[in-house]
Amino acid sequence: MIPLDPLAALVVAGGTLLAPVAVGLLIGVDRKANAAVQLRVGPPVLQPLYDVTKLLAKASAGSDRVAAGLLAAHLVLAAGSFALILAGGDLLVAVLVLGAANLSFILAASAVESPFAQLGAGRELVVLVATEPLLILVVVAYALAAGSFSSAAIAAGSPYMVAVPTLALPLAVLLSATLRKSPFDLASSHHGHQELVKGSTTEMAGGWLAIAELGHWYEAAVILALIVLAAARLPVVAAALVAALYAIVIVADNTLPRATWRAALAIAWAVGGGGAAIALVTAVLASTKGAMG
Amino acid sequence: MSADRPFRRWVRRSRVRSPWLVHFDCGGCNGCDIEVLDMLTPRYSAERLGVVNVGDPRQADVLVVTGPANPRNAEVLRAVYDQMLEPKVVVAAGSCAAHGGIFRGASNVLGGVGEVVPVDVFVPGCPPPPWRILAGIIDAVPLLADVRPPRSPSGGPSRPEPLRVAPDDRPAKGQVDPAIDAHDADLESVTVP
Ligand code: SF4
Repeated sequence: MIPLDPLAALVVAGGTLLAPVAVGLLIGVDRKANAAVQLRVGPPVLQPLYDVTKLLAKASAGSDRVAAGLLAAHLVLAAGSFALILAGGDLLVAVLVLGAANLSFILAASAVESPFAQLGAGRELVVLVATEPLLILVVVAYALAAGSFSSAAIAAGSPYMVAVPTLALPLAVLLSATLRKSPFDLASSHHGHQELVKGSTTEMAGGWLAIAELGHWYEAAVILALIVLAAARLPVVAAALVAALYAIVIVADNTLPRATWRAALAIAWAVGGGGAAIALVTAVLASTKGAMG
Repeated sequence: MSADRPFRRWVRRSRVRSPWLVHFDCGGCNGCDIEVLDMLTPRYSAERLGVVNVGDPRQADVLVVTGPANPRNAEVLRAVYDQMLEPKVVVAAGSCAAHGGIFRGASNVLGGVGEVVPVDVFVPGCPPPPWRILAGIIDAVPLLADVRPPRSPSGGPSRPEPLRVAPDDRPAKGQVDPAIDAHDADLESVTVP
């Protein structure tokens, strides 16, 4: 663990608290953009924040005690993973903590009796299987290029667009999956076009649904942080990278409705895995060339 | 108190701007259900109001009911309503949901859904067109701003004159019901909150 001075700790705490607001706004812009693609007006940019506030302000919803505990764990672990990256900690630990957060959510979804929630939990697991290897490959590629797993060192060694350009592919797949976009919306979709509109979240209501949503936003914040790490020293380039990958994700979302879990797995591993593998090879080649030269 | 107020404003605003629907069909002719689904298509762009169609009463704020109440579905309708968390509103779409419609007086029909749950907005028509159902929802959402005390079933729509029964009271073929016409004029002035 990296020793933090009080000021840095304050920045990390503040950043971690503000992250859901930023992700909420980003999702609001995303819903606006999607509506524009479909020639609709779309909801206000603040819509995701309205939704979460409304859910938190609902009269209290009873919840299965086990599921509630797991949902709380999901939120805390996902937030912790993000805070770890922000604090310059070990990226490998951060993505493993994120995996634990994902797993808590899946267990929360399968802890209840609803067959829809169980089905959603199973599919959530498929998405996890599709994306978790990619996450680790991305982190290893970063580490090879930077010579360290610490996110501070990786940020200092950025940008990596030249060293490992194909890293953009697994990052796009991860972004699409974390935002639950087609073809990764098979577990629970915000759109009516999926066969399972409410899967894993079926039994969650009121404040608990808001906590689940906030946990998902932290997951998205981690993936966005991974994207930003590719050009952390050039904020404008980093923002452009996020925008470009987001655009790819929106196009994929609108062109791949009703994808099956097999398609999701195939796309994740072919596109993301292929890109990550090439990135690994280029990173190794670059580092050996650097060592020889 | 003063620091509390912007927060309360934000919460009330959020509740009004995020009406999630659950749609329950009590068993009319399905005409209204088609119109409700039609209302949710991109053509009417209900998402601009924050409308999301959720399949789960516990996640919904607005209950859209179609069809007449009968002894068998009354229990289910009541259960769906009771599962929704406050603040919540009920929109009864169509004549059947208002007072039984063409099924009124049938031996198995209790009347409108107001016999079972407290209805906040009745949307006229058999079936009401999609934009009118959407207007009914727009009329109802301000009621979501605050948690209201528990309410008892509202009964049918309150109107000063008795329900129209005489055949010669009906608008002539090809002529628009003046009541519906007046409602359409109202719609022109609907502004999105
Ligand atoms: S009001 Fe008319 S259209 Fe609607 S369910 Fe009843 S009979 Fe059908």
